[in-house]
Amino acid sequence: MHEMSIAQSILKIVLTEAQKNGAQKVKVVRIRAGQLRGIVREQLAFFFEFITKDTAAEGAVLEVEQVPIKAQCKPCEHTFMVQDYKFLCPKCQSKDVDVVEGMELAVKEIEIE
Amino acid sequence: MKITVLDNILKANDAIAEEIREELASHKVLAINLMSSPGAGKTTLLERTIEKLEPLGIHVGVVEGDIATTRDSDRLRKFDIPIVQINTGSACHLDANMTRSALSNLDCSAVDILFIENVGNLVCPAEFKIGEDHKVMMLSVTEGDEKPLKYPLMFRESSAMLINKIDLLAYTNFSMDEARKNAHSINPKLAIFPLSCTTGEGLNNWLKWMTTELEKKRKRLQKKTKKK
Ligand SMILES: Nc1nc2c(ncn2[C@@H]2O[C@H](COP(=O)(O)OP(=O)(O)OP(=O)(O)O)[C@@H](O)[C@H]2O)c(=O)[nH]1
Ligand SMILES: [Mg+2]
Ligand SMILES: [Zn+2]
Repeated sequence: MHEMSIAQSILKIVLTEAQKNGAQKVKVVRIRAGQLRGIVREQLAFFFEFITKDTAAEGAVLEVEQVPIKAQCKPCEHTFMVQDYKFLCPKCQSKDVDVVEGMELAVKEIEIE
Repeated sequence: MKITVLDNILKANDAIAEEIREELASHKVLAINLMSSPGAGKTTLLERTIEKLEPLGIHVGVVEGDIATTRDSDRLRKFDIPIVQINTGSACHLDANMTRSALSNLDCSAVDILFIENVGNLVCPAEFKIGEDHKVMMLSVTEGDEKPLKYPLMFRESSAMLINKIDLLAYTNFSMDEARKNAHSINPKLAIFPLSCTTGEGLNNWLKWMTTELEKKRKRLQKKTKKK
């Protein structure tokens, strides 16, 4: 249910941008959500629709791009996709890896009129 | 018209968390964000921990986060320590803003370790930084050893995991080896402490970890002030 707080934060960012650009109406909101964030798309869309009522973003379509988890091995610098949350370098078997993608949670772009 | 935004959704929260972190550092406080599913034993752990730390001269402060009621903070009133209760209302997690306003009602000047008991929930609290040094999560043996695989973010973000209620192990199908394996595949650096808040078994390892982290933080802060 962190989707409610996240929907509110998204709306804040979207309305600020909309106002800055003199928009009458926001039509599409595109966000990037890393897989590690565990965002439930339907829940987020539900809350977003609910809180955008009577704002410039009322009726806007919320598009969620899910970003899979990518990690980089510290010892051998190999970059790989993480499957089933196994943070293990397939090349050198090291567990000392950094997450380079999959933690993002950002408003990427909006479409306005 | 398309507008590129590229704005981190959690940035407002993270900025406040950073302010809290600095404020706590100025008082040399080690802050621990304690998370678990409902009823794993967080408040009981705090009772046991305060009992052990206060005689060592390590002063504890507590921020209690609950959706409703002051029951958890009432349980801690028997200790002569600073406590504030946050009722989150509908929110299933603490965020930085709530934490900051709670801390404005708590005198940190005599506190060494601040515990922030988050709302019982394995998903949402992991998303929101609240100015902590460490996220510590608690899993009780009645919840199952596969939980790390179902709630990866919390396990990935935590520094330590306490496996509580080991006095009940014989009544469950919980495998300690399986739990370790699952947790370490997500976070190899996770420190794991099996313990029982009821019998007291294993508590010392947890206390030692915490006091070591307190020392480490103090040393880090000292170095920083010397540089300046
Ligand atoms: N058998 C056993 N019971 C425990 C242990 N630790 C806690 N309990 C019991 O578990 C129940 C829940 O404990 P709490 O400390 O209230 O759990 P909590 O995580 O603070 O719960 P919420 O704040 O509601 O999420 C209580 O009845 C405790 O007595 C333990 O090590 N063994
Ligand atoms: Mg509690
Ligand atoms: Zn490698």
